[in-house]
Amino acid sequence: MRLLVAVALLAASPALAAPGRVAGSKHDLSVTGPGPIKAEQETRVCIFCHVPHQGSREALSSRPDPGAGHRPYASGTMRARPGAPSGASRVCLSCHDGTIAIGRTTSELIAMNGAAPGGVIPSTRRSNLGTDLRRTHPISFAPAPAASTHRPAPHDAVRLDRNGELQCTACHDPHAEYGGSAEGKFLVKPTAGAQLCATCHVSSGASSHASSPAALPPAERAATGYASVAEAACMACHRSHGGDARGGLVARGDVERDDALCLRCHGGAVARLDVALDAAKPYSHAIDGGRQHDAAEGPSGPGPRLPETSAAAPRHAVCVDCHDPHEANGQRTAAPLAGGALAGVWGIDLAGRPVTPARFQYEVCFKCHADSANQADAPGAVRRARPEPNLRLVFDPSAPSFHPVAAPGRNPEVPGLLPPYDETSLVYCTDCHASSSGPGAGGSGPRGPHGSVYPHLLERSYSTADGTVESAAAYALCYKCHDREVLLSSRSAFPHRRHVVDGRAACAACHAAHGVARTSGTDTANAHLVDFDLSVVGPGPGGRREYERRGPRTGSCALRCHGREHDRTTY
Amino acid sequence: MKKAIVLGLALFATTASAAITGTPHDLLKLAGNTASSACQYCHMPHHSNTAVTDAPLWAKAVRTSYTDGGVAKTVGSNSQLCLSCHDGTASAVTTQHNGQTLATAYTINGGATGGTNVGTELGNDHPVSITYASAGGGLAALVSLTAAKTAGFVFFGATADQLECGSCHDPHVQPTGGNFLRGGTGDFCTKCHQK
Repeated sequence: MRLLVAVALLAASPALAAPGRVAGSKHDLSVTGPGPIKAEQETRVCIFCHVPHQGSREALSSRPDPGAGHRPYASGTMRARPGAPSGASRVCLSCHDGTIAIGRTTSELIAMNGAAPGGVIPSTRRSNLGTDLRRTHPISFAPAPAASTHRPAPHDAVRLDRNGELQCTACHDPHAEYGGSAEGKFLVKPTAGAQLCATCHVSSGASSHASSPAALPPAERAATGYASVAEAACMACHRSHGGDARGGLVARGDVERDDALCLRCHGGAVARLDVALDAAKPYSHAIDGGRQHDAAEGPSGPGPRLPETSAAAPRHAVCVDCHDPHEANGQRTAAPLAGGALAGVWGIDLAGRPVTPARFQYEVCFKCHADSANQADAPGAVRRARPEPNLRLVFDPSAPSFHPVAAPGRNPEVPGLLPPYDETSLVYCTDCHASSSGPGAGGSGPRGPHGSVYPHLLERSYSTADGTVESAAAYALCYKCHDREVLLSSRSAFPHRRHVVDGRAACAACHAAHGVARTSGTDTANAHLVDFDLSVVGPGPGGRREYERRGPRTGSCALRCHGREHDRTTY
Repeated sequence: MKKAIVLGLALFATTASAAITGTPHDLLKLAGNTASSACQYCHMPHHSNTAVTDAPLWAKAVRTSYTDGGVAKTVGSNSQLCLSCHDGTASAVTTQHNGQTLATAYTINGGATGGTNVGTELGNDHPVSITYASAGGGLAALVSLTAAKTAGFVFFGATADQLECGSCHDPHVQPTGGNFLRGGTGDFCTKCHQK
């Protein structure tokens, strides 16, 4: 009798949904369930997924098998190759791929309210993942631990299945809607602050993104439920379900340009500096930022080759070619070290080898501006006698002459270097190539080579046109480091004033700003960055067009320029 | 164990064939039956099967060879009794010792796999012949053994903690919801599973 009473009491109590139980959660599809989709009459809760006899080997599931036809997640940066869904994921997908009626079990069809025609989850609901799983976190694979991932710790709330495979159930406990997180979604841990993702995905936490208190834009806030960038963490840029189909789970539409995601915050909305303004300038790194970037691109591996090996390969530059959003931070350093903005990005070293992460800023630039086979002269570029598109060779310390990007310059006596520069200094590529409205140019925009009003994405004006009237403004870039007063005075061994002021020759008529590679130049003919502009400097007596360094502060020229012949004219 | 026996006997003794009558376990309604009582299909007062531990005067031969996911599975005596019909291997209802055929051409569930025919591969069924343990998380998030017993479930074995068919099913009492479940259906699973 007592037993009967107890049973009766228990039977009368199921309407009270205990926390962490299926009853009362969105997975309670019984007639008393709370969600928009529930049974017309069925009172059993478990039957939608489980059955005590003739269930599947997987959790005694009552669900029909979802069959084949799922398109698995794929990403060039992922070593494991997920195949068809397996294990518990098949049970989940039997509802959540939207192909099987929610009320359909292996033995019956339970009448449901709120389902789409056919009894399936309406396609408008985010819980209908579809059969194209490229947009959803990979499932049904054994994680292959690497530098960036590891398996969950023993007894972690995140668990692999008995075969060591990651299934839907690694992140979701279908029995506990709010079991591990206040955000629901049956997550075993909160996603805030990367708590869930960091179980497997390793991050240094050094990224400014990890600590930024900046408020998310209203739309993002509404979509993610998070107030700040740091709180949203991974979810600020990634979607566990519904990412870009190209992989990476990037929160970006299928037709959006690669940079669209970054510019959502870095276009003036969230981040302090507006990179979109730079990207819109006439000379910008973002001009090719369509949808060509592949996170797996590199000198080897499954992705496209970078540096490009085919002259026909399209060139591209997007934010993440130079910035790793997982590592980038505001740490400033001195040349040639790569600063925080470039932290975590791979590069190409002076020897042409990939280096991860790049140690020096120029190594990042060398990804595209060294060995790439598809480099073409920019419109209006100076045509030189000794052209070398491979800047790795141009800036090599063994080159005849070079601006001191990778090593101090070879000239021990550079006239008029402005403090803090001297002959032992190194400079960044970005000391010359930078935003025309950044701090280097006296502005308040972002640093770095994002965009400029000046050709070649230069920070300041650098006229290469023959006949330019000399002024502080015309060669503002050169005069940033080289004292105009000294250069144009007798303190300069070479008669710069006669050439640049009187003869109106541009700096670029005689000097190649980057330098001259060993492969094409010599120590005597190409010292001091001398490599003539072929459109200005022609052959002189004997058909010679050459400079000869004869020693410190002395040299000679044999050439024809502005109608005047130099026959080994010395200075 | 003793308690289980007592309970089993009590059920046997107090649950008259009237309780069986009309239920799926009332095999008197089968065509070609020659029994005089519904009890006879499972029980016999003399010469019963003594090979099965604690068998309640069992009339039928039992099978001991079952698999779970293809691996040999040892099944407890209580479940062996149920499976002597429900594994679908018997083609007729035949008592063990005198070989009396009480119903001919009878195969459970019409011979079809599924339904009441659970087969000899038990991997797709709720596990039986396991020790009920409420420790741990996940699926082991169970109410205590005491609470499960209070909720009406019955356990077997020397320490009365073995889950068998009879833990959930009472073959003599058919509740409104059917399936001979102890205490009916509805929120049945969650009486043990804290989900």
